[in-house]
Amino acid sequence: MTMYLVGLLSINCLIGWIVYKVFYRKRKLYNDRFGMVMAMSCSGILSLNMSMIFQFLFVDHIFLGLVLTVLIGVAIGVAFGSLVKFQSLLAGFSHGVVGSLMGNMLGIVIKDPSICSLPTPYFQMIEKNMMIFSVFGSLLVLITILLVYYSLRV
Amino acid sequence: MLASYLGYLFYGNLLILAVTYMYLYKNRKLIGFQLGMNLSNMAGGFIAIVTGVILIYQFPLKFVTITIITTLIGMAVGALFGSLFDYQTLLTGYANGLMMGIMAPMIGAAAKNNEIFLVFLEGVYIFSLFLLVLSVKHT
Repeated sequence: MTMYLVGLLSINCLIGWIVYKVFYRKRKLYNDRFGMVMAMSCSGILSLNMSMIFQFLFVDHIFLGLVLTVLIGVAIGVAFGSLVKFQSLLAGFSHGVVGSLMGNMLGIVIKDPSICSLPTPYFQMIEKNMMIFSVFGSLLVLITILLVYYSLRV
Repeated sequence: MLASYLGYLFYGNLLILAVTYMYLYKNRKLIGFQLGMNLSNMAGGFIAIVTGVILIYQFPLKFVTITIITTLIGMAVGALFGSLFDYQTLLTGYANGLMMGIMAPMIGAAAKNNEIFLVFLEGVYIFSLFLLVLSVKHT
């Protein structure tokens, strides 16, 4: 289980790094509006999925994971937003923070279903839910990145 | 008492949304991209929240499936409203619908089948669609 989560986390980091390199090479082409849209969508979904997997990985350190993932979300948003202008930096920053807080919420609820007062059968399938949600989040990241990359050609 | 009408409520929401979409489609030449971005944000986000709460009230034992379905609905509606105008409004509506759709079933599960909360959300949804229709002609 731990190996699986570490593998998914490193795949996500790899996707983010490759996409950052690709966008960095083409940064002269962007206008203001595209920079803002790109920073919003990429940083939001990437920080959401990474913070969710982080919460699954460190089961008994909720507070440490929260602080660390919010910092990671800030770093992702600033990195994607600083390609264009300060306006896109602000958009990337705010969406990175919101996305990582939401991912933490989802991860904590799946780890401990009694917070949202979900019924008792959930306590038997926590591991299965973790696997389903991490795969689903990675698919969402992939679809979003492909859509944003496709918009460079339109 | 409200629980037996949840299906009709869901169907009615989708119907109102379809009528709004047809109205926007007729007037899409009047709308610039700045307004189009906000329109796709609003439509995707609110339909995702209402759908998530209704579905988790109806099937409280299927949290995982409902989260996935609600995320897909939010993504699809945001992208549909955004695709009226431009490719970048499509991306904006898609990202916002995704965020709201992931969050919505958790709110519904924490509200514990409260009926007043659902009525309140329904009022917010109808008011948002009313504002959306109103903002087309008065920009």
